[in-house]
Amino acid sequence: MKQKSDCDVFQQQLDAFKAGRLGKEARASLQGHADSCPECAVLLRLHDHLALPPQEELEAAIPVELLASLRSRLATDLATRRAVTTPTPQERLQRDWRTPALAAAAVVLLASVGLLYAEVRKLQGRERALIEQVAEQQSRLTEDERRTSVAAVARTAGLAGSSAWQRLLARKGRISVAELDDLLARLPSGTTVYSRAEFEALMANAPIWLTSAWRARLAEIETEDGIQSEELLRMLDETAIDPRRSISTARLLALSQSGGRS
Amino acid sequence: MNDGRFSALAAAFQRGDERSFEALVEALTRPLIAIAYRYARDWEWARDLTQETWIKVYQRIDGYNPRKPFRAWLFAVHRNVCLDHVRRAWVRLESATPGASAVFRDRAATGGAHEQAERREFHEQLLRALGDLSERQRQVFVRVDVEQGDPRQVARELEMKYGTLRTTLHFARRRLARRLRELKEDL
Repeated sequence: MKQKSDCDVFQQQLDAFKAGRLGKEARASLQGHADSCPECAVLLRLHDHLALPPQEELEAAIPVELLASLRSRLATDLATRRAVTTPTPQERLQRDWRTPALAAAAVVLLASVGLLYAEVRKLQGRERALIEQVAEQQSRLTEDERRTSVAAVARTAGLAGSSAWQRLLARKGRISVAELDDLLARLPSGTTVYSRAEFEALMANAPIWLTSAWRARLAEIETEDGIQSEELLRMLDETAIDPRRSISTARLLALSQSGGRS
Repeated sequence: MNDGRFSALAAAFQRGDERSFEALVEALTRPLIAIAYRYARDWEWARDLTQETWIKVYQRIDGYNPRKPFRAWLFAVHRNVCLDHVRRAWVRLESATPGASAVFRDRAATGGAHEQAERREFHEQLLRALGDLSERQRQVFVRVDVEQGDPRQVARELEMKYGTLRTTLHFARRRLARRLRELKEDL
């Protein structure tokens, strides 16, 4: 038991002994124990064996040619590894970035395709709208052409421009009784809308619902100068024709034209 | 050059700057060789171990965290290389005829041929005896007694209490001494 205790003390003092912190007597005591204890003697030898100069001294003791050979061997070794299998950090970096870069490129590509598709859809929408506009314009043009043809009929007959009434009438395809009433009311006072011959021709070819009401009224008109706007307006008012009923202006004009000829 | 500079160079090397690696080799090779020498007791062997360490660093630089000190990481890699050398050495020694192995070449030793032969023999026995220690005991012993590190610093690095380290070291030394004595008696 005492022996073990001495061994423990020996080891505890070993570090101080190595560091040179033990006094002369303590060192002698330690050496004495080592001489009598084989295990502690081995321990002392172990410490002696491992004792080397401090780090700085060891570093300074490294042979210069050893450092040079290490650099040379390391450079050769790394060059061989780079050439055979090992990717350099640069290559690793490039490889590591390749996948995300490709993924980013794919995302950009998909986004571009998506934007392109959206743009195409937008253009298609615009195209449809333009087609509809063109169709509408064509429809309007057709209508205008039809109206123009009505006016042309009137002009061909030598009636268009003959009076403000006929010019106004030529602008519309069909005209209701109410619109006719309004048209007549807007004409300057004393405007002749039909000569007597024209009006008689109109009566001869006009719808029965119109002629039956107006024929009696016509008999009452004595003037040979023709039918003035006020008179025609009065006839419309007095005959109490349904204001929603309509008549073709071309027919009115043509009839009046044909009536004019007769 | 300070730790911050080493870490910056290592981070640059991670980004592919080979010249940063060369700068690290230039600045830190001497301390690595000196540490390796404590394990190998041979300059050429110490050089080989240091070369092995740098190759590992070159290949595994991605494993280094640039927010931590590079020097500590490098020395940890180097220590593993040296300990691995110790392990390989005692495996070879165990399978070889006692005293006939040329694992240890103490070219730095001073003294006559007889003294050198004795030192070589003792170092071989030490390598064999290290194989008998537990991993923890071996770790503490090589850090304090082989590398001659400051025990308090080693305790911090190994995340041990200083008292625990002292106890572990005590038992590691005792076990080694016992084993070395047995080996000596076997000869």
